[in-house]
Parts: sequence; C-alpha cells; structure tokens
Amino acid sequence: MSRIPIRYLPWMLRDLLRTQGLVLFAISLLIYVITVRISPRPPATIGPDWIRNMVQQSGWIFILLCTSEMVSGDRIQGYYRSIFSRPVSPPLYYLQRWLLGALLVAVMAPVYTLAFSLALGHIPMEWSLVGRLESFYLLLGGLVFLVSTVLRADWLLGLMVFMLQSMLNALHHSPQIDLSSFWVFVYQLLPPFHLTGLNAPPLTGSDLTHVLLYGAGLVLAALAVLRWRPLGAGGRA
Amino acid sequence: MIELENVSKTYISLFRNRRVEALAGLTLSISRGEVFGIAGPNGAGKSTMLSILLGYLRPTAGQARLDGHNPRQYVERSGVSYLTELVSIPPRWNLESALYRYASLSNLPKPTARDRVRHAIDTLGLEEHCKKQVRQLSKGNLQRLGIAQALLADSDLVIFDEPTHGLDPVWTQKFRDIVTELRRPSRTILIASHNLDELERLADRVGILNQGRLQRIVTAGGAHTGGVYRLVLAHPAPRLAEFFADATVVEGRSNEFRVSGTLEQLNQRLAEVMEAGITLVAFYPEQSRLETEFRAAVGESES
Repeated sequence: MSRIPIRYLPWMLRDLLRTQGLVLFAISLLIYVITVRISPRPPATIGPDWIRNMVQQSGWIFILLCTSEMVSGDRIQGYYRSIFSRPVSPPLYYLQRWLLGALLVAVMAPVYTLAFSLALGHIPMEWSLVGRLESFYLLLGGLVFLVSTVLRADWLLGLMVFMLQSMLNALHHSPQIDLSSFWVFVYQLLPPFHLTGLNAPPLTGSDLTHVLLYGAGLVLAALAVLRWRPLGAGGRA
Repeated sequence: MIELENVSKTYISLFRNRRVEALAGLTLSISRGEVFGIAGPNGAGKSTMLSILLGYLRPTAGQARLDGHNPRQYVERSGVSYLTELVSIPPRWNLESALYRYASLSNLPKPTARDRVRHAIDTLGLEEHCKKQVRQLSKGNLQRLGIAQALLADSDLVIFDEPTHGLDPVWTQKFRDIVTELRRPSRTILIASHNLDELERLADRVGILNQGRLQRIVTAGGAHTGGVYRLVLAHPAPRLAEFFADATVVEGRSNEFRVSGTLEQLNQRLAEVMEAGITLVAFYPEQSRLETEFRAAVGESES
C-alpha cells in the first residue's frame, strides 16, 4: 500500500482553493476596487512595477495564510487521529500539503497580472516574480511548517522571525550603526529573507545556494520532526 | 497480533513540575480473531494504551508491537479501523464527503470507495444526513459517522474507543450486530468502554485497567457461579423466608427480593418455591459477573 496520499490530493487542493484561494481572490478584488474603481484618478502607471509592489506588500501575508496551523491545527483539533490511523505517512501527507501551498503562491503574481490586464488592458507578466515568491515561500513557508510541527503559534513565530531578520538586515547595512558580534551572529543564523526580496538583485551563485540549502533544511527538519515525534506527543491521550 | 510488554507511560509537565503515570508496566497479549474489551474507570489509562497502539504516543518504557512491527510502521503499512473516543472531524465537511475523504486516505480505488461509502451509510442509517455538515449533526449521528468512517477499510485490526457513547438503545443494539459481523479469524477487535454490559456481551476477554495497571483479565460470558440475585414474584409472598432464610425485600418493592447462594442452592430453593405455588416473574444476577469482577479489581487497587 502506498503511504503517499496521492488519492487525497484533489481534496487537499479543493480545501486550499476554498480557503486560501478565496482569500487570494478577495485580496485581488479589493486591490482592484480600491485602485481602479474607488480612486478618483486611476493610476495610469499600473504596470509590472506596480504589480511587483502589490505582490511584495501581500506576499508574506499570503504565505503565512497558506502554511499557518498546517500541522498544529490538526494536532490541536484532534483531526490527526482519524487521518493517520490509515495507511498514510504524516511527513508525506504534510509535505504534499506544503507543496500545494507553494503551487498556490506560484499563481499569485500571474493572478494579479491577469486581473489588472483584464481591467486596464495588457500588462506584461514578469515571470521572475514567481521564482522570487517561491524562494520566499521556501524560507518563510518552510519556517512556519517547521514551527507548526511543535507549536501552535506557528505563523506568529514565523512573522516575528521575519520582522527580526528584516530589522537586523536594515541595521547591519546601515553605515551609522555598528551591530555587536552577538547580533551579527543572530543575523547570520536567521533565514536570509533579504535575499528573496522582490527588489533584491537576482538570486545567483552563493546567494541562491544559501537560500536553497536553508529552505530545504527547514523543510527537512519539519519532516524529521514529523517522522520522529509522535503526533500525540505534548498532551494527554 | 497485539503485544504489550511492560509498557509504561508517564506524562511530564515541565511548567507545572508534575508527573502523571498513565500506564505502569502493562503486559498484555491479544490474538488474531479475538474480541478484547478494555474496561476501567476514568483516567485508568485506556486511551493512552490505544494511542500507543496507534503510534500517536511513544511509551516511556517497554514496547508495543502490532503483528511483530512497531505500531507506527504497522499503521502506515496496513491501516487500522479506528473510532476515536471524541469523534473529531472538521465541522465544515459534509457527512458524505467526509466518508469519501477517509476512503481516499485509506487508499481505496474509486469504485471500491463508492461501494464502501454507500455500505457504511446504509449500515449506519445515515442516508438522510448525507448532505449535512458535520457541525449540524447531533451527538448520536456524529457517533454513527465515527463508526461509519472506521468501517470503510477492511483492516485486520479494529479499535473502538467508547463506541456506544451518545447512541440510543436501538443503535447500541445495532452496533453489537456490526461487531458480530466484523468478527473473523484474521481480525482483532479491541473495544474500550465504560459500559460493562456491552463488553460482557461483545468481548471474549476483558482486561480491567485501573491507575495504569492491568488488574485482571476476565473471560467474558463465562458461567455464573452464584452470588447475589434478584427474585421478582408476581405478588408479595411472606412465605418466601421459609425457602430463602437470607431474603431481604428491595426497598419500596414488596414483591422483589435479594437472595444469595451458590447456583446449586439457588436452583434447589427456586424449585421448592415454585412447588409451593408461588409465581415467579424474574430471577437475575444483581450485578453482572464482569461488574462484580470490575468492582473487586478497582476496589483492590484502591485499597
């Protein structure tokens, strides 16, 4: 018997589209209504830069939505009991769910571009945005996935780490501030979110390796926790 | 099929600096083809034991094996039909789609899944609730859905945790028929319940747990050897004392008595009572055999 829940994939996708997909649609609609319908003078400059800005503003929220309480929700509500009494491997089940989240994040930029192209005329699609968002998903989504395997406040902790890293990155690159060696160490330890920023230079060479290895490490660590820590651990039976 | 060897489980709360010993040196062996009951008061360790068997918890000491494998390995390879104590199914799922989801997680091909879902819905009488969301179901219907999802796969190990909780007498009886139909030489059925009468009717053996320890194993449905019985007569009979010197009237019921003795003594005296023209309505043990054993086991461990 297969332990990969492939047959469950359509149900997972349906759940994701009905919740996170609906949120993506609602955010796109809201941006459209505010900028095109409500604004007395619709911005004539709406183009790839503007779309990139929108993706940057809402990308991290959407990633948190796609990954929050992915494991911890099932653990706390007790849903895992009926799911994993079947021939299903918890690491593979949640990896499948995480990858579907990556897929939904990948369509974010095309959805925005398409929505505004329909409303305002053709806007060229900037495909590098998809790669940028995916590398950001690998880090932030991977971090939330890992935290979710042990704690409930996964999205909150993910957000706090993201903000701390952004703040340390700003301080580290400020010529007026000299960070102590401790904070430099902390900065180097945290996920390199600054490398995945939409306005950062293209990811190549050692930066690309750093992001890929760090992200893959987070996901592998999450899978290892799911493999070795029983799902009922941390509470009474 | 199920082997528990000196299994202990201690919950440790670091924040409150507390340790709770849920299981202490539990050793138990359950064979294929057996229906095994687990009885015990609240907090006896029943649910902890089941969680260890499903690989949801790891024992602090000792080991659990299912068919010779580590529980998690066994479950991920073969699957277990499992009814949880508190049926937890996402409230927005509708009943029918919940069953299809669980069937797909059980890796059933579509045509088989369709047949099994229809069969489970028919068996549990859930047809009229198919389109309802889980949150709209009554306690009894939710419990029936819990049983239905456990019946989807054709597993060799079936675990029911408090299966008749919330069921009315009609569905409690139907559940017994379901268990009878599930019996098969290659299958092990484990039922944890507070309902001793149910366990006595369904199980071949019943393990009595208390304070994390297996107090005794009772072979259910065995012969009664005597004890305290209730005797109900058609009319009040002052002459009863001639036959049962120890007979005491049940408070508020002038034609109902408590009598005791060995089975031979009781049978002989009952024959004399009937010969004397006294009409009997009923004669039954005041406590079931399992109940007597349960009280003795729990009492012993607490004293």
